[in-house]
Amino acid sequence: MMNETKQILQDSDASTLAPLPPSATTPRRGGLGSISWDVVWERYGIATILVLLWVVAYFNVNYFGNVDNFAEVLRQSSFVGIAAVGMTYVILMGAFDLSVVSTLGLCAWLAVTLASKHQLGLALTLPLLVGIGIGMLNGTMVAYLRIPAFIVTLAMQFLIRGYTFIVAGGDNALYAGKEYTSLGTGFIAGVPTPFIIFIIVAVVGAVVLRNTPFGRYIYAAGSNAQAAQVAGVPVKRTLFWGFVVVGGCTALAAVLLGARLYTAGPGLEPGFELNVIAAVVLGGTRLSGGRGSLIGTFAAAILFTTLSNVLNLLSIDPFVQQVVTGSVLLIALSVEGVRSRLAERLNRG
Amino acid sequence: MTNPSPLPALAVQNLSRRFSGVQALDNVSFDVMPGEVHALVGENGAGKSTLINMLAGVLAPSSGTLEVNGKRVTFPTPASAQRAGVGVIFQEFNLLPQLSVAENIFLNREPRRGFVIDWPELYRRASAVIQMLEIDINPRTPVQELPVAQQQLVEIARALSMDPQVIIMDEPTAALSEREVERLLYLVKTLAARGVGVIYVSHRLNEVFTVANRITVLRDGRHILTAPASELTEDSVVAAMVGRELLHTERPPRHPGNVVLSVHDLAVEDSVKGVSFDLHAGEVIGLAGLMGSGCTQVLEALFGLRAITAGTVMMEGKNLNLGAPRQAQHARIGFVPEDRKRAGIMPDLSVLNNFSIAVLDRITQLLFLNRRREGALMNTYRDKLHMRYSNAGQLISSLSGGNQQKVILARSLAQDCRVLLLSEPTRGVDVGAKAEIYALIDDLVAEGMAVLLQSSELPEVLRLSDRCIVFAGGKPQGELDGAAMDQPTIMHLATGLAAESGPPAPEIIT
Repeated sequence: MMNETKQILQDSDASTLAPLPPSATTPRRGGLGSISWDVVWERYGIATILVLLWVVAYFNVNYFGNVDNFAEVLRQSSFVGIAAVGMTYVILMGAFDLSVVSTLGLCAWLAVTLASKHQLGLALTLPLLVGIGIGMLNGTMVAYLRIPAFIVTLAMQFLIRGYTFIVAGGDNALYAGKEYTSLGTGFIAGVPTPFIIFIIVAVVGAVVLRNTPFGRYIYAAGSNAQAAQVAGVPVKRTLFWGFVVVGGCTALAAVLLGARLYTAGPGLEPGFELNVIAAVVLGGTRLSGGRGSLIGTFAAAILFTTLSNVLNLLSIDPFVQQVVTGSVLLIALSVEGVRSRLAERLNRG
Repeated sequence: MTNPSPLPALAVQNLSRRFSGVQALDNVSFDVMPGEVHALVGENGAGKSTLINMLAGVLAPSSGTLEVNGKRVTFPTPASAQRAGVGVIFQEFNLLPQLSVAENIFLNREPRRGFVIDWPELYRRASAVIQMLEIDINPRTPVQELPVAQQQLVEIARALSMDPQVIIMDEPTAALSEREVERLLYLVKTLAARGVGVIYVSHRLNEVFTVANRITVLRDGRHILTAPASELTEDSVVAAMVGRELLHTERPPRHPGNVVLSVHDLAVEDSVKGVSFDLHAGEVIGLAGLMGSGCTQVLEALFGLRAITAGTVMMEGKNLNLGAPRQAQHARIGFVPEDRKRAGIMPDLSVLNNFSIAVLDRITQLLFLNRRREGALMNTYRDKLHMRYSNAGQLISSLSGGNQQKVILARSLAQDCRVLLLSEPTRGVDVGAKAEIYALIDDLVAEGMAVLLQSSELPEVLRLSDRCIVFAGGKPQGELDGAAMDQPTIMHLATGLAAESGPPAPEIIT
């Protein structure tokens, strides 16, 4: 019936070439005691790269090692970093939040405005409540109404930004009173205040992820939502609270950023949402969820700022800087992709 | 109708396939002659799907050879299998619903004029293939507008358009009505009459005997027999399919206690109706039925995963409201899902975290997890269930199927459940782990656990259950126990044969 039967002679040793189904992975070998190299890399890889970059820059880039410059790098990394801690929670569940840029604008504007009216107590609390409220709205729509996170948070990005323009009347709020701005520009024991807060947020965030039922539920829901549900994990509620965390973290970053800049308005930090997501992903958190850690996010946020600081010190054109940043992200993630596929193949033995 | 050609259209020789520790197919040989309908039967897990996937170029064999028309072939990709003349019609359709019938039939093989598709030629060829099947479908109709049975015909037309030596049909009648089945069986005979070798995979024995010239039985990945259908009876095929091995370990005597779970006139969504039973402590009730008969739905509903649309469920005299797994867990009902990969494990989590995820409230102190208590709890069950892993921190996906299943079981047991719902408790598990799981279930039941079991493997149902409710078409067909609970009776009830006057005399094609 068919005269062009393609002939391929049987390889006598086909068994070694046979692809295995994904379920057939064998135990990983090597590593520190019981933990495999894979996990070690996943947790500490970016932190290692960050330290290497610091060492190289310290010896090769003038002024990089200066204490003032270094403090500035840490301060600058805190704003994206604090929001990225919250973003890690939702990305671990395979979702993300694009509305953070507008939440940042609204909350920072609110904080600066209230501070300028000498309502310091309100300036520090109301933006947080607003951020948490926005998180609840996002969480309700994504988790309970099952609208895709992309659509919900993109729409919320427009909505909140537009709302901020309307209430702000198009003007940026301004305030330079020391009792508020010291939060953004000050030091505690020689360390920039925002960075201290970043460390606290990251540590609390990591402890919650690793040592509470909520944290376990996040990893479970992100790894296999259906299995998690069957195991009794409140998947929807967990996703809802994840959005609340990212909303709250972003608002905290906004209060600090307003204090750092003395000014804030609806157009604050364009592209902030993508910088935040980039930090989480560069930090090793898988976009589809289930894997990742806050150590990675923490290091990646600082890595991005370090990189742009080094390029600035080398007087490199800001447009070229963008090309470099994009390339770093692309290279890091493709190396990661190749590496994990290699590891998989090696593990198949 | 059998072509007297000496060369088989397809010959399978000593084909084997291992999946990390599980011998899915073990040294299987059989052949299909041109013009022959060769039925391949076996229970779920007998190795049929593995075999088909290898013939389709989806899986590579661990060892063994294939020959098409006497020539050795290998199928590294599905395309190479198609080129060699092996067409496979899978149980799940692979059609693109928005595209027309003709586009689907010639997908990726569209006739072209230069760079553009030659549409008149496409429709002409599609019509020709459709005519060959003696069916009435407009080649321009989008596939999504066709009923399921006609979509299947499109699948067949696609396979046929590749001018195959062999067509493999995997459970082709699973989704068809009785009349559509008749039509399909007629079509199968027509195909064979054209000289195509047909491998017909099914566990509906009446269809097999209607259509097949020869029958091959697989069990536990091994070839059991190949014989002309005329020399076999339904009973002899059933006996070959189920074997005797697992009956070696006998069910220990059981001592049922009080009623624990009482289900009255339960209906689940649109699929199941009229289910009633009383499950006692220290008792196993088995639910048996073919795929789609509704057993799985009953278990899922009792765990809050499907909506209960009518009836009552009582736990020790108290009415249960089962809206979500949490509520079922709260009522001390545990569940082991049938599809471990889809609904059981969280692959990125460690063995420990997979185990403890359902009992975190018990190991939490002042908001934080007490890891020592978590580890101790895990170790208790590790010993009790003979779990084998080097380290509780290793990923669960690195364990064998049997050990994964034990982790899932342990997760339910750690919740102190009174009722255990087991769906396919030993699917994809090697023989050793299977025996261990059976022994574990026996122990649990001896300690007073009430178990509701659903399995597509009849020997498993018989081995474990004290009583058995047989389902067909979403309705219980009868309850069996004691000596009345045997394979032929269950099979007859499950295939709906009992409704007719006894098993029909096999109709054999000559």
